[in-house]
Amino acid sequence: MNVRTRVWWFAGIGFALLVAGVLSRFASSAPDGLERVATEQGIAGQAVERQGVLSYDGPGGLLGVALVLLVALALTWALRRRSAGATRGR
Amino acid sequence: MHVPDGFLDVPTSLATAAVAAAAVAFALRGARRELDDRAAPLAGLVATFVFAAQMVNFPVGAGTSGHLIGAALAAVLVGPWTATLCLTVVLLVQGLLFADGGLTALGTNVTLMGVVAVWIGYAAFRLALLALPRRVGSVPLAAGLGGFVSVPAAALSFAGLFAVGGTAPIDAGTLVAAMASIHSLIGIGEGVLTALVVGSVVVVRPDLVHGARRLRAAAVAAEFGVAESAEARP
Repeated sequence: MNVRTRVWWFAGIGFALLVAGVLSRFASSAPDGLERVATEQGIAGQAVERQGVLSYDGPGGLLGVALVLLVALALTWALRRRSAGATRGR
Repeated sequence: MHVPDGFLDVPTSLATAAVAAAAVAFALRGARRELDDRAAPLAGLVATFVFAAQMVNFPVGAGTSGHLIGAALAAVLVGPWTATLCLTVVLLVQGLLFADGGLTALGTNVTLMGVVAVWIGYAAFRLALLALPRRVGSVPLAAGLGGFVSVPAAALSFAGLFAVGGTAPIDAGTLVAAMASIHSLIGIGEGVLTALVVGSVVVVRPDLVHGARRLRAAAVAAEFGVAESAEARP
């Protein structure tokens, strides 16, 4: 990545962190479309509830963001076509 | 949209797990063609943004919310094969660590959001591009349409799965109508957000947007006053 792309990329990551860390506090806690339909149709009781290892609130959400970033980057970086010659400095 | 454990019976869950596994296997091959040194970091960013955005539920009507799925968004920005992989990574982290979506339902969720929403959304995007003026400015609009279509498409697929392998006997027609109506509303939010995000990337870095490739070639050709090259045609 050249400098301009790198700046743009980090700005994107910053925006994602902002969405996860700040905007998510204002998220609606109302049931989502599927939960709503399931309740209305009387099938919500079929759902088996589990306790997550992490919670979206607070640092858990940001940890999730970091984890997705690491896994997705590792995967896409491993799959990419290598450009002929240099892998840096484009 | 995340399906919990217990909604679909074991055979149906196994079937969707097989569909999801096959789709991911194909995507691992297909994504090689979409990813290069420039696209790979963008794909990582797209997966991260989709995960973050899915945390933010927006209200739709009284007492209901929806959140961005990001399937069409990812498909337009980094290509549909890579989008399937991005959504799969997001759903794995959500399902395994946050109990967001079931474990036995992981294959179902990958099928609905990583396959159906991605590919229906991308197909709608490509069709819309054909109908719109051949300008880079058409890309966000077509992406928004793809986003809008992708949500009811995934919702109806769930209703279909529940009709086949649901764990409670309810009328399939009623479920289809309920899922379609509420997810059309959520789809409007998906479409607007998809258009906004794709639009803001296209304005700054049109060169990075997978779905703007052919248009980009045409725009460059027009700018330099040369005839459109053959590769600029779809």
